[in-house]
Amino acid sequence: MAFDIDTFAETSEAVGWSDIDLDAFRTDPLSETSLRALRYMCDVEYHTVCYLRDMLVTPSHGDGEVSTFMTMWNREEYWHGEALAAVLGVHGVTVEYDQLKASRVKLGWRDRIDPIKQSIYGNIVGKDFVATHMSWGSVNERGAAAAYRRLAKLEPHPALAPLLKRIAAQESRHIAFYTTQATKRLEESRLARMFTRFALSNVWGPVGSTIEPEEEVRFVMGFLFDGEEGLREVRKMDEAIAKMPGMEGLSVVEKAFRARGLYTDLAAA
Amino acid sequence: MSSTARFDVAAYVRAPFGPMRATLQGVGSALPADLADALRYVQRRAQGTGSWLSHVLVTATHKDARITAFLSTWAYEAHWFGDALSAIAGAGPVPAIRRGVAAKLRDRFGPLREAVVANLHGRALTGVQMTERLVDGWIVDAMLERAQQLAPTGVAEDLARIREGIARQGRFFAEAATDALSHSRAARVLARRRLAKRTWPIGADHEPAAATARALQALFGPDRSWATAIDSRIDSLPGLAGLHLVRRTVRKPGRPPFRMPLRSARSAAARSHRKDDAR
Repeated sequence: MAFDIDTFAETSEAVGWSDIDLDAFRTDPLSETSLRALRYMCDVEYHTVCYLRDMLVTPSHGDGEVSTFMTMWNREEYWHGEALAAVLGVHGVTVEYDQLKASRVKLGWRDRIDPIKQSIYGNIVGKDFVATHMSWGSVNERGAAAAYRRLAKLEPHPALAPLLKRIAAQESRHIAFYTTQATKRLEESRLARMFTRFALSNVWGPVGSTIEPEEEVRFVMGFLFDGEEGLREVRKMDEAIAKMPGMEGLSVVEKAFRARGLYTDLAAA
Repeated sequence: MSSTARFDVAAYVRAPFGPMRATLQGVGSALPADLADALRYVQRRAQGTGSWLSHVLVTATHKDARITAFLSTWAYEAHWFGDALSAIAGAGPVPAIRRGVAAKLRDRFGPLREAVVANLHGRALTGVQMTERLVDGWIVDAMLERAQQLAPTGVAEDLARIREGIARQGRFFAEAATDALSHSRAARVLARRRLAKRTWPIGADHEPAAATARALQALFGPDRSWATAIDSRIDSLPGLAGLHLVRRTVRKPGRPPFRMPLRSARSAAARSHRKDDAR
């Protein structure tokens, strides 16, 4: 799969919703469950700048293509947060700069230590850490895109579904970049394959699990991905991840979800 | 925007400067080689924001959602300003960057060190970072203003648009810097120390010193008035009088100072503190 970074950058844009009638939510509001999931997603999108921070302390930022991508990606994700905040706003749930600041402050020492940890790993592994970062991004973006598609299916509201599909389409472009980069870099280095496999098998958690309370992670992932249909979606993700060099046989997402109490009545692959 | 109105971040992020190539007037204009080289130098600064951001986002600054919203868009704009400069200046030699062992170690461990140090300084660092970008914006703008005077009309128009964008960014940095420096003695002391320690413009330390020297020479020749003018603007910031950063840059382009004005920092901070008490 080829990825043209120049085309991506030139066509990168803030997701639009001015043509979507958000007032439809006033007469036909979303369920509490969907709003809770949207709030989680909104927080995660706004938090992208912190993921960017974790990347910038690694050797990844020295790569021109990666750096350009990150600049565009960070802004697109910010606007995903803005779009979801607009939907939440119509439901009386306000998401403002001060609230986001408060939630980041609440993360405490974990948040302060994260970039230090990333920097240490990055410096130990060196350039090959970029492959891990790209693979990690690929898994996360797959998770995000699948979550939007699932929510659009579970809550087929005429004002929500089109917005979620637009966001998911942008996430798909992010998947393409991360996967292309990861595949190339994993092919080139045995150390990159070993370290990435170790990281994905032992450390990866659902998107948002480092910033949201565990109770929220379980609730939202359960709502979106539990049951046979959810598991099918999760296995599709795992199959795509397992196609990356050195990742054969991994069930990264299913394993992380089972660890959070999903699929108790469904057999493991 | 009136001087009392707070910078509207929401409006800024909604309407950034994006790709400019399709609307540039000066692409293909014949430029003197040294002017094209100087524009490429500014382009590399604009598209090299990652290193500075890596030092900023590991500090308490990243918790401030208003600032991170601004910076996300600022980095986006900087990328496209750089892209426009690249199109105007055309392809050219990129200086061979030979990073010594110390510089490589700084590159690798700088953000790590900053993340640890940031936990000691807290929010005072945010004021320092905003001040750094304010001063850097003044220097880059002076370079582009001079390039505008030297360039043919089409290129001058393009540079004017870029300067318009930089001026808008500058309004945010000016507000954030002035606010922090006015209210925090720690920010003033730290800003004084860090600004004096830096190589200007930001990112110049990632290039051979000769590249900065060539760019400044091509644009300003023996003229020093621009540097004096920016130093005066720095003098007017709370607690930052007497640093002479830009005149130092002109004397020794691309090189950090041998000695940091620590004594001066203490006395200046003490003076600012006394002023605060008197208010």
